[in-house]
Amino acid sequence: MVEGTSREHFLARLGPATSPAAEDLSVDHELLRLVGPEEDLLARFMQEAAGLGMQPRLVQAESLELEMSRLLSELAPVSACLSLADGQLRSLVLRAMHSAGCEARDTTMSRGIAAQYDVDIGITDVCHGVAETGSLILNSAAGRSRGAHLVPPIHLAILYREQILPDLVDFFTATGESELATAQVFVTGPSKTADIEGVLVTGVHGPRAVHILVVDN
Amino acid sequence: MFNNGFHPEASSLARRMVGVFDGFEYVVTNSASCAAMVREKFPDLFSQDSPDAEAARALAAKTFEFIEFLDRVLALKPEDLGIPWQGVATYHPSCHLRSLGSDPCPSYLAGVDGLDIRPMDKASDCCGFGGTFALKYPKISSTMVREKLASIERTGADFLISNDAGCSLSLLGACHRRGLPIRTLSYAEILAEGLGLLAPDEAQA
Amino acid sequence: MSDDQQRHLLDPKLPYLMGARIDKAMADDAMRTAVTSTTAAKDVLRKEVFANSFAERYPAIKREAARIKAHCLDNLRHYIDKFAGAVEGLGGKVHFASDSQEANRICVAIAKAEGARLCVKSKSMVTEEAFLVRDLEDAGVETVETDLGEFIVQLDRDAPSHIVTPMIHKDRRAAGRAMQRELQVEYSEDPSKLTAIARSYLRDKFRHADLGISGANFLIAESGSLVLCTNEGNAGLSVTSPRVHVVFAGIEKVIPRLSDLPFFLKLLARSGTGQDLTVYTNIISGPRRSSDPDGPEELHFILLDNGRSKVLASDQSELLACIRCGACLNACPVFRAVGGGHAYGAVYSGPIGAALTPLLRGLENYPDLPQASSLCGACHEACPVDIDLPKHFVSLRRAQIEQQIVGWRERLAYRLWAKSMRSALLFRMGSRMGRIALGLLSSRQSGKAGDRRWLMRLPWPMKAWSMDRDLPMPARRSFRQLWKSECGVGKNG
Repeated sequence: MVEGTSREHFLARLGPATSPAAEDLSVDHELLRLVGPEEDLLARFMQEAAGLGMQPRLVQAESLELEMSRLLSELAPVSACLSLADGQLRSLVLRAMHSAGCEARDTTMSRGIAAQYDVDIGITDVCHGVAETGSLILNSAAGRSRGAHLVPPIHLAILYREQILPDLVDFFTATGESELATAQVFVTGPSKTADIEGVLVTGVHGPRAVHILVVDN
Repeated sequence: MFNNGFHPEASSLARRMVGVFDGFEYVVTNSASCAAMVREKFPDLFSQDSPDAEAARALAAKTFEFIEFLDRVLALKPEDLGIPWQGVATYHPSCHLRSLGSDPCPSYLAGVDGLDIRPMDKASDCCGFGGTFALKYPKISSTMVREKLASIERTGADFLISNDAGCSLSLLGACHRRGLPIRTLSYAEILAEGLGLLAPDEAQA
Repeated sequence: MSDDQQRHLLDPKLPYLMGARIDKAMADDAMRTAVTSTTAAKDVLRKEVFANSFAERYPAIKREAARIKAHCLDNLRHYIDKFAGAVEGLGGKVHFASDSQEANRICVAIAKAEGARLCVKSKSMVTEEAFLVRDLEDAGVETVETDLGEFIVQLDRDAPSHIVTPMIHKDRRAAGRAMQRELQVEYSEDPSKLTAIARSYLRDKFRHADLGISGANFLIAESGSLVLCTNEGNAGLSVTSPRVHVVFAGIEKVIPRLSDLPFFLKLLARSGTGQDLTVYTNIISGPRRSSDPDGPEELHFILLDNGRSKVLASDQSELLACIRCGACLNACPVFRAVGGGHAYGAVYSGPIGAALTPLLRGLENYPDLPQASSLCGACHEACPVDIDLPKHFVSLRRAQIEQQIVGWRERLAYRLWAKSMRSALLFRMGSRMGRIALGLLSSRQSGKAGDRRWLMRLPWPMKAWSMDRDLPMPARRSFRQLWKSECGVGKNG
């Protein structure tokens, strides 16, 4: 292995060893806030997500299975991969898939991203939604792949109403004691590019369609 | 001189200029770039706590671009002036207004009776003058002034209003080269003509 | 275009003079139009988006972001050290590279240790700066750019011309021809079809790659995290699919905490593309853990100095606050006039490049870059971290004079000018002589603009003026004379 410059030598070029002012930095996050907790977060999320070209659909908790089955029948995927940490939710999704005639592959994500290149839809849970931007926030974890939202041509996400945060700022300022996930991703719309003459094209490397079932308890 | 990096030379001139205007209550210029130079750059030409720097800061504090002076010092309301001036015009804001802060000119122009203002597209784009830049990089500068003229022509205006001597000179020269019958003038000239202090075109004759 | 030409575009023979490429741009209306229309549209969109979201709060947000960046730079040693410690705590590895050759050597060694044959790379300016792809290919590692624009630029053996939208100088026909020629597909001009072709070609690469390389939009010191912002999703794939991932990053990318990130996320996308947020924002903290079903097993960071520590120690360290949003390029009328980035003869183009390149690669090597600006200030206004770029051009011009990079004739002319302006007598004499000289050169023209004398052709050094502009004859009576006779006041003669 080629060794580069030593850490000490490299750091020495960046100034004196101890910086008295280090870490003495307070910032005003409220400057950045565009959505407050008093707003109708559900309505704002639905509006923003739709504005980005995602397809959010509000469903009642008790009809989640039925609505999902309906949506899957519409989309008619032959195969799906699941990235769902909760066993109960996974069972519900499997039932919905079964009634829609969709085959599940690698339901516990044991094979990770490698298994996803040939499936038609990725079905995932999420950690949060963001009302301000219409974003979905996904974490990697046991049973959760970082590819399911990205590799298949369609992403179907399940978001619970109470998971919706007002503003991006709220995610970053929440005093999270828990360990940081290896991979977090904010999904804010379907994959897109405007590299060729500024013409917008969706579905570049990621999915061309993002469906969200927003569950209202 | 300052902009080209000749700072010792620029500070010697600044020192003289500070002396020339010592004793006057206000210094008013009809060119945004001059006001910006005195206000934004003069104080930094001298070491922070020197008497020169203090004098430069004093000059900076009393120097105003003409419309700024009407607005901030004389507190004249654009609508109160109610001066008459007939014509179809477009307005080019000088780049130096960026450092001077908000631009009161559009509201003063709106207060002129009979003036039909047609906003140009990409109004805040530079006209390509930039002092010696136009001489050192004539091809880039020409391309920029052509873009500007295209924006001006699209408005169909007969008059071009600009409150910066540099922009006006450059745009007037470029219009003339192309045979565009557009007259450039500053708000001060509109005011002077509207108040009958200056015969139309006198300044250019 | 050959590989040599491709490299030559961003790494020309030094010292580099802009002249030839300006001429080329002047002759290429299609390129100038493409660059102008795209950048102008982005510039308008940026202003609208900020006005709609932050409105009058925006200046305060800019200042706050600039303050965070200034704090990072003031304590960069501390934060780099902290970042490295955090990465190692997560099981990643940090390498330190003094220059780009060293960085490339480290990267090639990682590739060789892995036995890597195929590398998927997402867009990164710092890898362009290091010309990493060529070194990897020389070492036998096929390296594929996966950002659509970069991919097309690579297929066409061209060089990127904008830090955010790399193929801004190319149109759909050029993209179609490159794909037809290199991928043996049917010619198309349809952006959707071209994108679909690239998707399927690159999917295969993602699937089989054994090495992933990305840049970094931000590095988080407290958590050792990597932050990547893309719209296409290529960074997410390149940092997930291959077994080994290498991050190339300049040292200035580090910010203190995750909680500082929203400032930059909210500014970056709005400034760069007029979006509220990029489609994908990935936060990667360490290599795959045992409980994770996927992700890279090895995660390497190569932190690059390459001249940055010198900039950090100078009074122009503010330039390292740049978050590479590209807003200053989109706002710049010079960038448009010269047909985009290639005219700058370096990886970083536009206003930020014109200020940074001479500092990173030698003031004497890029004499035009600080000069080729009208100092209009559109770049400063556009900058989300409030970098006063015109101020830096002036500082560089001053350094050019001090280092005698500016010719003696120009230096003498300014000295004489300053002298004459200091003396009322010399100034009067000079203006009068100038007026007489101009009078001899002028011709009378009549027109609607008034009957006055005009100068149509001027001698050096004013010759360049007459290329596209006439010069009106100065008024018969000077302002000084008018002031004296009309107002009857005067001081100092």
